[in-house]
Amino acid sequence: MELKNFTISRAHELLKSREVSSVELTRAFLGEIEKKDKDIHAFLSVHSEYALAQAEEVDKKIARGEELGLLAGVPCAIKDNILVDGLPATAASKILKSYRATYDATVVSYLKKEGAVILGKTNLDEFAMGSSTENSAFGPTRNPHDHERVPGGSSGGSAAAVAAGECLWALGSDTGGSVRQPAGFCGVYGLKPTYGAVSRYGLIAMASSLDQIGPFARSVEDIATIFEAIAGPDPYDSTSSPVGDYRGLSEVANWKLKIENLRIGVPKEYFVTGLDPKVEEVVRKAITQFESLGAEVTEISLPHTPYALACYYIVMPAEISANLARYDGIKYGLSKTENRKSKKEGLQELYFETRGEGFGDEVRRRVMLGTYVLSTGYYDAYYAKAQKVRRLIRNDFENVLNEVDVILVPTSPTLPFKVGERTDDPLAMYLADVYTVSMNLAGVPALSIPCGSVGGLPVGLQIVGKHFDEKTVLQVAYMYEKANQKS
Amino acid sequence: MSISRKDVEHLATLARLGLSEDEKKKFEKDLERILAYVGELSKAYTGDVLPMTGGTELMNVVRRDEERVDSYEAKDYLFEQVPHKEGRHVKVPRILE
Repeated sequence: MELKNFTISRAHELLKSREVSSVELTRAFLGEIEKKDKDIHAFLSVHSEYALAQAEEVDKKIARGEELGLLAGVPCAIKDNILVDGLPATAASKILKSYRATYDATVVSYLKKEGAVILGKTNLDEFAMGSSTENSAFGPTRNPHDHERVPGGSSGGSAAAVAAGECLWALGSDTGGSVRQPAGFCGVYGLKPTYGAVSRYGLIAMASSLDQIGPFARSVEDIATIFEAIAGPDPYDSTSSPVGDYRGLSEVANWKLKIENLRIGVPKEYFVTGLDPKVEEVVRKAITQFESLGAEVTEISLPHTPYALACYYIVMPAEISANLARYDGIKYGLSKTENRKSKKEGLQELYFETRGEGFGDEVRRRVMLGTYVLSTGYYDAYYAKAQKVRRLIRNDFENVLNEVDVILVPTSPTLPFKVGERTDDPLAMYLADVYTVSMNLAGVPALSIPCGSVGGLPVGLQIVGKHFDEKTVLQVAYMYEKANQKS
Repeated sequence: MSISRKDVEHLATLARLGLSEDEKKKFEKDLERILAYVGELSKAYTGDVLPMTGGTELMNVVRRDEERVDSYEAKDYLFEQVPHKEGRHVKVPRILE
């Protein structure tokens, strides 16, 4: 079966017309994983029997002539920090190596109702902390475009799995760029929804005011399809919002936005020293293309941009330090009651040993950073200050998006870097996020689209929109996709 | 903001993280660099802007004050994940001397 240019919509056509069965499709992708994943390591666990059982259920539905949703029978992968009942959910950490999820994340329950076929759980930076997937306790994932390079992170496994053709789409999570940056590095589409658009119930929490689950796919229409299926308010997540109305969002026939009515803003603060000139060239070319297609492109300003990364690396570790307190060796996961470093027996020792051994370096670094910025004497200077700067960053976006419909920026300041290149310098690794963190702080939706390459290495462009205006973001991406489609 | 070995030990104690001597040395260096970077935020003028205390503008999200009853068996399933147990009790180290 020729899987190369498959999309969800294509697979759906073939399943509906019975040219291919879900079991055949699933076997084909399991075959791709078997062939490629020893080199790429996108998956932490593959569940063939489970996937084939799901596929058989869909095939029975097809045989009964039942109505088939767009995602039914289509193979996908789920990041290993999103819970799928009965399957492992390790968060790529030793502390959860033995943990099996005891319930479905809300988004997973929606996908199962749609008949999606889950092939396995994908690799990530431990507890979603990282920009390269090198912080995984179980080994890094490789970029399918160049195995010496990183796929980005933290959802590197999901991005690589889609890019390598090991599945048709995948779910990841984005707290500071963890869907968009790997999407950019791997040459696929990746969406961070508006904060609150998608339920976080069943997503292993990293930073609760920033986390969002988002899809990876090979076309804009596919992204829209997945997003419509997973979005919506959820009584189990009180931060999920009823504001966004996404029914019918994925019906491309109803996408009526005209390019001549489109106002695009390009923030000058994103095109400064630090942006690789080769990346800038590709990104500017894409923006110019929008202009030649008829859009109005103006330079705008997001003045608090220079403070965004510092703001993020105060707010996020603070929330992490609270969210990771639950990993204590009592209720689940690693529990160090033997082979200890200390001879002492008490509760405190259990905590120290379990967390000391179970958490990797980056996790412990961020937990300590968070503990510091929240502690007495430092709270005002760091955390309270960061919360105020965050408000200003959000205001920047809201102000600009009153004047323009979308903002275009590069996804990453550099091309995908080599494995091992930044692992000695945490700060150098953090700089990979400089173009993505602002959108999480502000809560606005952002989609990374492939817009070209340099020496075979993908370059991503972000389309940023108003809160809950994924519809405009997707339509803009669709315009670009259509204009660049090879017939 | 300069960070000392004692600071690192204090943070590790607060966060219940076991660290080796080598790790303490490494984290001391890392945290110092990172704090120097994020400390630049003090230069941002924030005036009397209202802090953003979360990711959403939603307030007072409530639900009915009703008991939701899960089956006894459902709890068995959760129990499978508990590392140390005796029957349906979670076993913990002694906390009272």
